Amino acid sequence: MAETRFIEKPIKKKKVKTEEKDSSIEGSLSMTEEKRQKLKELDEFIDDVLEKAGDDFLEEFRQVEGE
Amino acid sequence: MSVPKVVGIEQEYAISVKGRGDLSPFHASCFLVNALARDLGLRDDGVKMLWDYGHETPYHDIRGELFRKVVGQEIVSESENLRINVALPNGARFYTDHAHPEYSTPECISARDVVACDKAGEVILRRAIQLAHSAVPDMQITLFKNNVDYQGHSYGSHENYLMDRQAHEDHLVRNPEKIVSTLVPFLVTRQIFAGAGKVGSEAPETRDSSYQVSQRADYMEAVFGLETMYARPIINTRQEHHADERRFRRLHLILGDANMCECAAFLKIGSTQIVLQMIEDAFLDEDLSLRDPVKSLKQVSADFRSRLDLADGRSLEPLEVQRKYLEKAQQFSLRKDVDHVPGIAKILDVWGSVLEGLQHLRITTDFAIDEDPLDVVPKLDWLLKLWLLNRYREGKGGKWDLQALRVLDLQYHNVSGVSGIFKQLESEGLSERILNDADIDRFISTPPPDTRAYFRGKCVERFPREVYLINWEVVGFDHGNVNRLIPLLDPLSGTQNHVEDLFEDCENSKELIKSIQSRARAR
Repeated sequence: MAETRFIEKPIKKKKVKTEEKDSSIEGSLSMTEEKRQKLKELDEFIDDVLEKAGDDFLEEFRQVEGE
Repeated sequence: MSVPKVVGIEQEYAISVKGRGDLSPFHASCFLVNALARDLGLRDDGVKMLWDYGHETPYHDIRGELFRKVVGQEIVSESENLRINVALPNGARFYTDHAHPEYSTPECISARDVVACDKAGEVILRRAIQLAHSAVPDMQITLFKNNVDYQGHSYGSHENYLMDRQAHEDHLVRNPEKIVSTLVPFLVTRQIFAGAGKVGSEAPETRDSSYQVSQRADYMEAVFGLETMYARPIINTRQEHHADERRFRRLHLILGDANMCECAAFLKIGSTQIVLQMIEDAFLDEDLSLRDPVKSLKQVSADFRSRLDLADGRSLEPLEVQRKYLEKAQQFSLRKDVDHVPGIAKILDVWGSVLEGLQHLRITTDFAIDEDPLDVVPKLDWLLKLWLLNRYREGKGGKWDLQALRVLDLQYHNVSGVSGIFKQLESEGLSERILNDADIDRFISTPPPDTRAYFRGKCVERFPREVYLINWEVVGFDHGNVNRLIPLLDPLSGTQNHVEDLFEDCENSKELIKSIQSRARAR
């Protein structure tokens, strides 16, 4: 194989909305009310997952080596 | 000369049991296996379908007797065999491997199909959980499709690829340096799209990492080897080919992560199929040997942009290494004298867009995702999980040492239902899909049409009372005074095209065997 050189193509960067979290998925979503609601629901879902898992989840999550 | 890249995935699931403190993970796993088997009528009176362990040789090494492990071969009693195993009408095997429920997909030819079969496995296991819960309402079993437990244990998501015997012996047995210069650098660097992501570290080499690309990298310790539970190798050398050894070999890979994202899984399998085919057709001509493949594996996991030392003195980023494979694959795809892997254009398209996306991705030293102009995050598990964890920790002061992050990491892989984070992300359109639901649904009860899995699955579906043993390469029928074995040594035979009409015309397995014999005589 021949040596490959990278030529960075100019990519138009999407602006990250500062009103929401600074990461890509939110950045790629234009923050419509519907999407803001979706992310709010996701945050609630995550809180619910943590609550259901309980404090001992990690300690109890003991597996054996797989083959 | 390359052979079709028949592929299968063996996924070991983590298991958690609540409400029945006396039930061990092993027994809970067997409970799931049998709940499903009963529901399918495979534990009815008169059905006694045993998994045939006769072709499993985990202690034989492709490199010869010197590497063979000497241990007592375990004998599994019939009752134990039935407790552990069920062969399914879709051609898959669901069983208990040590204390893990394991779902082995049927053999597929295309990456798209094997990912769909793997996803169908998630649905089937969810069904098994529901059945178990109905039988014992105060017992709650939860399954996780991941590879680490944060207590120092790891379990596998193994891949199996059909290889041409001569190419396999040339590259893996007689001249292993060939595989070190071709396949190993690909496998070491493919984790930049195939990694499932993990909070923290479990190996000294990555101890400073708050977050890693791969779940398994910390546990890999050798380039070649027979082991799977310690000293795990990049290339597993088990001599257990499950096919006609005069023509075929099985490449058994144990270094991969369990993928939830369809896109990551599709690219992992599809790109590996193409690279293997290029190796068999002697199309890879650049020596990309890494100076220390195991060290590089951990290095990539800790930092996907780190520079890797090659044996010839060069240093390349994982992305550069992957670009080289992609460019060769693009050239290879133009060859007219090769039966290319199904969907090669789509695989190359996804491969290119993912590498381009990673090239422009900007991640801070604290693992915040600064820029993702090409939307690669929804395509890959390690990035989607990182995005989620960042979202959570940013609201908690930005720390990485929160216990909740590890809980979320594990719950990302929960396939049992309501608490599955990946499922939630996917349902909200935050994970990019390759499949549609119909692709997955058809493999819940139907085998892939284009491999021997079709024959196996149809035997289970049509004649469960007559099958007395079964495995990847044989189906055995109990005909009273005589047992009849149908060998399935060619993974590309027994397909829907070959045998569908035989199953339609036969009322029982005796008729089926007669039809097979008369067709063979007519040829």
